[in-house]
Amino acid sequence: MGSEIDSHIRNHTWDLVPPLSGRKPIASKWVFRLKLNADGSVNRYKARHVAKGFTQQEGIDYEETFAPVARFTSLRVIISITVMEDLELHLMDVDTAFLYGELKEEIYITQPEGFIHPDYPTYVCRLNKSLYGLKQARRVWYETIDSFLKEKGFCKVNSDPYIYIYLSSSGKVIIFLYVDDLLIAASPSLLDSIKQMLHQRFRMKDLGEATSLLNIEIIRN
Amino acid sequence: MLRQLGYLRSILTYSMSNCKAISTPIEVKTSLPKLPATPTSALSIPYRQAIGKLIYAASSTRPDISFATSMVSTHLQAFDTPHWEAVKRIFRYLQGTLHYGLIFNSNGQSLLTLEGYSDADWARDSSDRKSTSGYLFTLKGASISWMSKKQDTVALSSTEAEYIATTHAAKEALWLRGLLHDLGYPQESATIIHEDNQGCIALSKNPIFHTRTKHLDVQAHFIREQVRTNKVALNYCPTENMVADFLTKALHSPQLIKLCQLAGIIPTTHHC
Repeated sequence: MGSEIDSHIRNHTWDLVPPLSGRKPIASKWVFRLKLNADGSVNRYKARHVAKGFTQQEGIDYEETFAPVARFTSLRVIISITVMEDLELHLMDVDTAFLYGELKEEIYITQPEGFIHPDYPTYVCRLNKSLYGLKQARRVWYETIDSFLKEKGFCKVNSDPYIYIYLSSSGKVIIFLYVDDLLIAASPSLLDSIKQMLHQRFRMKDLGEATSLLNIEIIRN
Repeated sequence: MLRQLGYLRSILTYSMSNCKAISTPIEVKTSLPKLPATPTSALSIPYRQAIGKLIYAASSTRPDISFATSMVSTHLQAFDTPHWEAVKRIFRYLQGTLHYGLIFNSNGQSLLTLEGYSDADWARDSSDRKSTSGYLFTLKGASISWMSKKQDTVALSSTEAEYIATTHAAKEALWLRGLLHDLGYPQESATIIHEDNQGCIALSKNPIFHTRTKHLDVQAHFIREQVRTNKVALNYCPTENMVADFLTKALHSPQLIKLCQLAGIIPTTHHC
């Protein structure tokens, strides 16, 4: 819980403001989850502070919410290419990915339970950044990573909006985006520079060689 | 190699974790009755949860259970003991094939050629006489895309059922060709789709058999257009080598094992 609050502070997710009359803040709560590895063993315990997005009102608290979903077929096609071209296949995950995007709407939420400011208990949080649970959270994150990759010279694949490709004389990089997980298939000479590029912009965990994604184990000989 | 050993172990619940393995996911000629409503005695069965888990496995690494899973999932609205027994049989099959996964080989060539298989089982469902479509696509022998689906309309002949199935396969072929093109692997020639019905192949080339096909919907002629413009080509393949066969009907164990091998679904020796 502490590390979640730390990342909100570092990220300047919200400002504490007096409540506006006539504008009800969206309720928030804590969600606790047990993360498992692909083989079923315990990875870590996770706490996340989320907005109760179902209380949001269309036109006031959100507008666009659609975000595309990746296909298993695309993943298998990338695996085929990786094997044929003998690319490196690595996995990275973005810490608190949904907190990156800039919000277009003005949104207020209640203070996180257990972390209520002692001097201003009645204040509410005015969001600067997107938050888990908001209806538009996925979309805002997708827009953020999409514009970042394009800026760095990646091309979005027409047939699948979750695949980005980068070609240069020294090789190729294919990125498969699954929400906040990035599967990176890269020529060995490009792998490190791609990771560095991502680290510079986002706080990321480098999970090294990809051994599992979406409950699918990836085994390379 | 892609596999789901851990996931499959975790879904073998419903007091199935020590169940006895069985060699096929569904008994040959299985027919499940269509019920008006779930009887009270069956309400406590976790039918939908179990199928949700099977669908995840079927669509990520296990095309061999796709047909059986799609069959039980047409009864989500109303089910009883026979349906639940069919679900449990799929789990028993998984119990014996936990180590199976999709194999990807590099085999030296630097060409990524897409190949497909399309099949149909005519009037399989005895309650509404609708047929089942199935397709499977491979890249260098590795399965990358597959589907098993009951057709929306009633086909009047096996050729017609096959023809409708090739439409689904052709749509997928077009999308895959586009994806491969975008990723730098344009398919220079037409994508071969293997098909075991000569009448269907003839029909895709020429508007023959007018009296028997004049009623076919416009969308079924989509395949003819794709053949004419050289995007796909239908190629005859004898039924015993028709990989998509296991996506349209229940097979006996030796044939299922043979087709699984052709589709690159094989046991792994790697342990974790």
